[in-house]
Amino acid sequence: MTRSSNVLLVEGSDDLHFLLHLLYCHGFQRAEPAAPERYAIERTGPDDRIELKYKEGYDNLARTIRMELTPTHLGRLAAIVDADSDPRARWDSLSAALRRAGYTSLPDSLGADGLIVKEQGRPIVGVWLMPDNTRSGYIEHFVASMIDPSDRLWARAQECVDRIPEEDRRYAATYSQKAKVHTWLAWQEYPGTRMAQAVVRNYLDVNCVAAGTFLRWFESWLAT
Amino acid sequence: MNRDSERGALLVDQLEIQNFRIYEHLLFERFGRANLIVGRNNTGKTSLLEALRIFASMASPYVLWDIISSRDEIAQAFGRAVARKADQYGLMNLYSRSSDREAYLLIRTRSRALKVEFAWYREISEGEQGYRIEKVLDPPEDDLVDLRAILEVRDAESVIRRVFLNRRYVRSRSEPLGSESECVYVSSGGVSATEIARLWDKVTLTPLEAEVTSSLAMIYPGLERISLAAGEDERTRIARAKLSDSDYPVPLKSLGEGVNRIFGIVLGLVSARNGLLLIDEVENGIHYSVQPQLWRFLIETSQRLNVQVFATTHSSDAIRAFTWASSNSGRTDGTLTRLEERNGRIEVHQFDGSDLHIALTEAIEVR
Repeated sequence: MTRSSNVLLVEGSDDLHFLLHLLYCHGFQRAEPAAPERYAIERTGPDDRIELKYKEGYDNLARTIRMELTPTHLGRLAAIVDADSDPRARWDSLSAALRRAGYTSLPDSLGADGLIVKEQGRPIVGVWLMPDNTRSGYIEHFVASMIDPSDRLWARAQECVDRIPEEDRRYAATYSQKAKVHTWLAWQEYPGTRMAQAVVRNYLDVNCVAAGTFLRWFESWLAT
Repeated sequence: MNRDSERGALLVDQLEIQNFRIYEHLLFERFGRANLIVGRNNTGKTSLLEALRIFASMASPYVLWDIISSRDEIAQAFGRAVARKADQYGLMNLYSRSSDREAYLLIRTRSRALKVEFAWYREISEGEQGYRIEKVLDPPEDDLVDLRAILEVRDAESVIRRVFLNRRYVRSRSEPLGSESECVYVSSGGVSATEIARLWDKVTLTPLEAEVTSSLAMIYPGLERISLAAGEDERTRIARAKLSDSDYPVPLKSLGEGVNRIFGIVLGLVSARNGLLLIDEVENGIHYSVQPQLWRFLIETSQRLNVQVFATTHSSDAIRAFTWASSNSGRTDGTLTRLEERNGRIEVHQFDGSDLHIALTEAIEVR
């Protein structure tokens, strides 16, 4: 009997590295990937080994998740995606993709604790919408919630981005949180630090409430 | 070309198998031009090829004989001492349920059906005229000595042939019905020397000969020509190759197991025109680096010669090679069929060309 495997799908490579380092802080370590360009982690050994894949955006993830769920040795699959402007619409779209893969017991909406679906004869599926399953937003909102609220530089970064006149902004209004987080990251000890490195360099609180909720979902997905 | 018309040309567009080997009832919803069958041991990969052989040959006695003997079931099947009815010559191994009433197998595509049913017949002497045979519907449990085990082969309408289960019959009476399809079977061990010689004789001095040579050259650069000549014992014929860097022919076997296996497969393909090519454990003896080219050749050539290809494999290299070749051929009519055992039942999972394309680009292993 081949050991069952676990796969974690994310949208982009930044998301992947951020989550990778967040999980390193919680007892996981690098495992040997199936191919040199892939990523894998494990905590105690091959049994909790997880393969991480980034899918170059949500649309591709939703289009291909049906095939991702087909390998016979697959035990669990989790998808961590951005809610973007409408968490409800994002879940409608992702749940439709999961229904095409044969899942029938999907709820109409997601709770704040994320979702774990267990159906007879199918891989266990976990779903988490960044930042917290209920609000609109993306991974930078989640990262922002890991910044110490009393951090003066964070207040300054937000204020600074907010003060940019409309005509000088090159990003869409919905991206303002990205602008703020990356501005804050640009002003660290090592300017231009990426989200993943911000975890490694302790700029972010990996034990904050938001991270705790996320990790509880992740642990229970892995334990189901 | 639209997909439906392309599919319409396929001999086996869809396949339903009932009561055969480990399949109680299995439906393969779609097959394409080139089809790879994957699954663990004992999920019935070889049985699928057997069903296709029976189907294409309209249950020819030769094919039935070969199938039964290849699984070492021949002693049982053709032995004389049959005491219990339940044994029924070991042919019951062909069937998934083997009660008397259900001793039949059914193989069906969209346009054609074939039923092979086990029956007991009695010989009744007609004096000078010889004898006639008569079906015995309810034979006694312990006395089958005078009875003959017969396989009745039916199409949708009627019995098209009766296969007598003894050696003599298989040897002497297997006149073609005319409705058989060409079907070449490459077993996991490869094509036998005798079969190679038979296939080669059909191909040599025809335009297909160049096809065979050039496809081998693709895998073994420098190979210029092939010829079959008598071996040491005069009865066997040995394939020899002319290489560009040598003035003397070398035995094809000396070029490695892979070249021989591919020779068998390629000969099989060009001989199976308008029919089926079946390859058991396609990866055997073939280096993984050559497999993508082999599949590309099979996919392109099978299209041209109107051959439908079915191959089984255990190997992830073979799956990758097939996925790569079928999604790069610009066609979407390759399928990958996965057989899985779940709770004692065999389940079928089929992937079409667009599924395989996703598997390839997203590095998903369809196993």
